[in-house]
Amino acid sequence: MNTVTRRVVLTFPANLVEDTAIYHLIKDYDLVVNILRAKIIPKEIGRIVLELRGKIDNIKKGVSYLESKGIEVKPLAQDIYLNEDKCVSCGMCLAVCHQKALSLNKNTWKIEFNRDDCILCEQCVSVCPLKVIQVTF
Amino acid sequence: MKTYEEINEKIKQGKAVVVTADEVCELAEAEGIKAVAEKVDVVTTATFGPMCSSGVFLNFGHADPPIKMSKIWLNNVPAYAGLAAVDAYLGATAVSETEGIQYGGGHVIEDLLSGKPIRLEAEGCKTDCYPAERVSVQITLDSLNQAILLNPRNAYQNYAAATNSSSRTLHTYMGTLLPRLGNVAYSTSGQLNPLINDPEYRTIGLGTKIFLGGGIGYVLGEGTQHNPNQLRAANKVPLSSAGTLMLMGDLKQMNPRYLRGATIKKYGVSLMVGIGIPIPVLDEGIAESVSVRDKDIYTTIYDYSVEKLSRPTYGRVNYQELKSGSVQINGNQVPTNPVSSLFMAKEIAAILKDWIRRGEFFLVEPICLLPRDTRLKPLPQKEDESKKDGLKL
Repeated sequence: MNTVTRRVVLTFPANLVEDTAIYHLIKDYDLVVNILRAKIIPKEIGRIVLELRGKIDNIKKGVSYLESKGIEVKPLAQDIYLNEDKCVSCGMCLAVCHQKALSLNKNTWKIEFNRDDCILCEQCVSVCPLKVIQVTF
Repeated sequence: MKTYEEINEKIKQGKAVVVTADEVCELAEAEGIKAVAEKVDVVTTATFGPMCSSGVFLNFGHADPPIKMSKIWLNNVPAYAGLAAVDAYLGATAVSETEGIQYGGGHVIEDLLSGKPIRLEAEGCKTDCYPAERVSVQITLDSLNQAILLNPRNAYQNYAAATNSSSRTLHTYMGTLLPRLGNVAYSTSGQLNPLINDPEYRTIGLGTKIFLGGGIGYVLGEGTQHNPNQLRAANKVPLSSAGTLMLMGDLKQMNPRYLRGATIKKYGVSLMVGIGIPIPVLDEGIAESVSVRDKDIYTTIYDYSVEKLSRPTYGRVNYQELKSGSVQINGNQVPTNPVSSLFMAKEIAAILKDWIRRGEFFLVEPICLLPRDTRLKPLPQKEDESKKDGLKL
């Protein structure tokens, strides 16, 4: 079975912030886990952007395990939004997008956003002069 | 040789050949400069980007009882009130007294143009003819007698590119400059830039009719910091920031798509302005100027981490290199990013071309061309005589 990579956002309820779920993903489900971003404060809702690599069945089982514990798992792309109608494609966001999720189409000179490459670092959100990129992380 | 009258007659008859500054390059490459001079009547140029030296003159109409406004705020953004009773000038970079740089003059201009109501608060000194001391009302673009966009410095002829050799990230009007030469930011539409297509100011001056903010505007003359003496290449194109334009137009007929309030991180507020300027191809010299390509337009890369007026440079690059996505500095490939929109500039050049083709927009011959001999001076460094005795607390 092929190895696949999935990026997900985990939302931990306040009572699970100190849980050891990530350990079990590695140990019990044989997943390669890469934490791309995390916001964890004791007794508050925590969020982690994870890259999971492993067999697709193991990823599915690992995600079910997380959900059974009360941890919400969502695909990464749902948390960021570029308002293309209001974007003027000035290019200021390109300077801070190290993942190259934001890029300039050299035919149209329009900014394009590839959600799959975004790790929700949010640097573009404050740099955008028109505030047309919104993140709900 | 053609004249403005001949070109306007062709526009009237729907026979004028109008192309954008991008398209004319292709024609020049395929058929040569002579063919451009013979075939093309008008070339449309354009630019769209943050232009801080912008603002709007407003006349609010008189209050009852009347007030002589000496302090004015629009949505908490201060406007200049040192004019007659109900006149004001709102600058694009003015900052909200309650929200800081998240909202400012540029945003008020965009909101006015979008038809949103704006809160006008004013204070005045009681006089016999102006008894009121305070007013607080809602205004809209429609309620104003005049709203005249008057931008003291727009449409820079070329602009210096920016990088940062220090070890910390810089937040500048050229956007984010990453440490250790992490990126190069540039801010000109290159071969579409208006004054680059008329490098010696043969067709642009007082009276030139233009596309401004989605409506009609006019060139008033040189803009502030106009610097025709910048070093130039053999094709006469300046090698860094050079000429500038002062522009005006009636805000009421503009379109909010082409005037956008902007907040530049840790820098301030600005206004993104869309400008399109038609250049009549009067002769072969102009045909050659408008056919200039990105690869023949150079700018200079400056190091913004050096806190001096005259910054060290990292040499010159052309716009073909800048637009490719990376340039070479000290043997390393450094990513580039624009801070002005080529996408919008192309859109504006196409719209202006369409207006002229449809016979809705005629050329106006300027009555006075831009100066070619002014010099750009820094602020005098001489100490203020009154402060010589030292600071008295």
